[in-house]
Amino acid sequence: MSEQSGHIVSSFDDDIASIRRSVTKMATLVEEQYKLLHHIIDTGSASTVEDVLENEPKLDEFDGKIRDQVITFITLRSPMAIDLREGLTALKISTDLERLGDYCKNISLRIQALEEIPPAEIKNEILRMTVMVQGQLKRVIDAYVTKNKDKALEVRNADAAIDQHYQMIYNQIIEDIKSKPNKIKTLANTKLLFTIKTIERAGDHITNIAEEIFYTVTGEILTTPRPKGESEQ
Amino acid sequence: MSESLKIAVKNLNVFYGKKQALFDINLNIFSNEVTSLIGPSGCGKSTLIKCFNRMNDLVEICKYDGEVLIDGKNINDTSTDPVSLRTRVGMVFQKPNPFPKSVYDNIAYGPKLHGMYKNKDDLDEIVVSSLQKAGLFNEVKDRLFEPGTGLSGGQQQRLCIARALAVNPEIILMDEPCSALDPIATAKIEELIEELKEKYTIVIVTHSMQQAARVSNRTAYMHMGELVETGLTKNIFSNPEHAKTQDYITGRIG
Repeated sequence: MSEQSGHIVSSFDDDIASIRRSVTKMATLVEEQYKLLHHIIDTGSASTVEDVLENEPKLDEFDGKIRDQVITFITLRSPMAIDLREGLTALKISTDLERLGDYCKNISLRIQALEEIPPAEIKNEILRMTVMVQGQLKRVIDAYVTKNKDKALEVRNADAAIDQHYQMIYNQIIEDIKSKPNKIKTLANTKLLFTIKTIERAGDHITNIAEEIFYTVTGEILTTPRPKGESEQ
Repeated sequence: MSESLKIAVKNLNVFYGKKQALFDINLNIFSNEVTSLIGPSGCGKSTLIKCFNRMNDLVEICKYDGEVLIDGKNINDTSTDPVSLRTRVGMVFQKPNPFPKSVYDNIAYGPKLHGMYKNKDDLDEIVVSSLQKAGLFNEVKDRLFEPGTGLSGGQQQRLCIARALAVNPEIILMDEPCSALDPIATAKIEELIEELKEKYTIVIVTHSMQQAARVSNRTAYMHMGELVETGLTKNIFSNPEHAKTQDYITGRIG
């Protein structure tokens, strides 16, 4: 389907634009949260954890606002086809964004509560994984703003790299646990295992968003399996 | 959903004088389904349904080529009697148009004209059952011999549907049957359409996207005399194939 022209009733376009603006703002705030998260993992900064906690309720507000906007839009406009998909996927995307925000908060608190600083090589890999998630977020927002199904597909396909990275760090942490068994280290490493699993799950939610963008633009639900890089852990 | 073909339109072109109104229309309409025709004013929807009961015969300057087959038989063959065709293919119009006669006589008119009853009891039975099928009997049973034009708009429209049913049609054509009705009367007609499709094949022209979505199994979108797209209603309104269809149903072109 080619690029849409405007509605005869221009306020219809305004409603859609307003919903899209809210989703984009919410996504941008999530992007900001992951930038802060990177700093927290890197430096352990307590004040940055405070920043993350302060931002988190704003995401809930966005989620509620988008729900209100979409319900009003559907009630008053009776949208069809691509317009209806715009509304419905805005709801789903905001749920994924809200979840991404939750993950960010959880990881921040977990990092803050670590019993000891992780070994440099593991920390660097976790940072690298976080950067990958940040890149995916940036690209998925770009796909949303430009309504670009190909970019959405690229994001979907790129998640496998995060899965692979997760697997690699997982193995590294398990090796670390085995190499110097002591209680404190094991506790800290267990938290790191949860941390990387949560980052990996964040990647999955970004993939959800990419699929929702693809659906909005094309009307087709992707049925091919997601490319996988993850094993069973 | 049955899949038995009731009306087949093949390469139909219709002209009013020099002006071509329909361009190479190909459309299948299936038994016991409701098919909606949608599209902007002047796109040829009404012209098309008038081809299903040869109403265009009455328009002198109207010429056509191509075929309209009902149950596989070309209705434009010289062997087809247009009057008996119109008993098989009933029509309900935008504005309720009861005859200036009693409720009873409105319904009895067709059966009388075609000699479709044996005796008075038989005719009474046809009147009552037609009114029942149109969901109107309970509302008018005490007013059968009062003028049909005294009923409310929604009742008049159901009276016209009952009148069409009285001659035992197979197909019912409805040309914007609810455009003059309030939402309650509209809902009653839509409920009736749902019931009628059990026995009849229904083709409805409507300007209401929501109505087409609510009542029909299949939808055909027409634009400037051409059939742009036809398909299952749920597909047409959720993910049409053609940009023109999407532009129309989402309110992007007039």
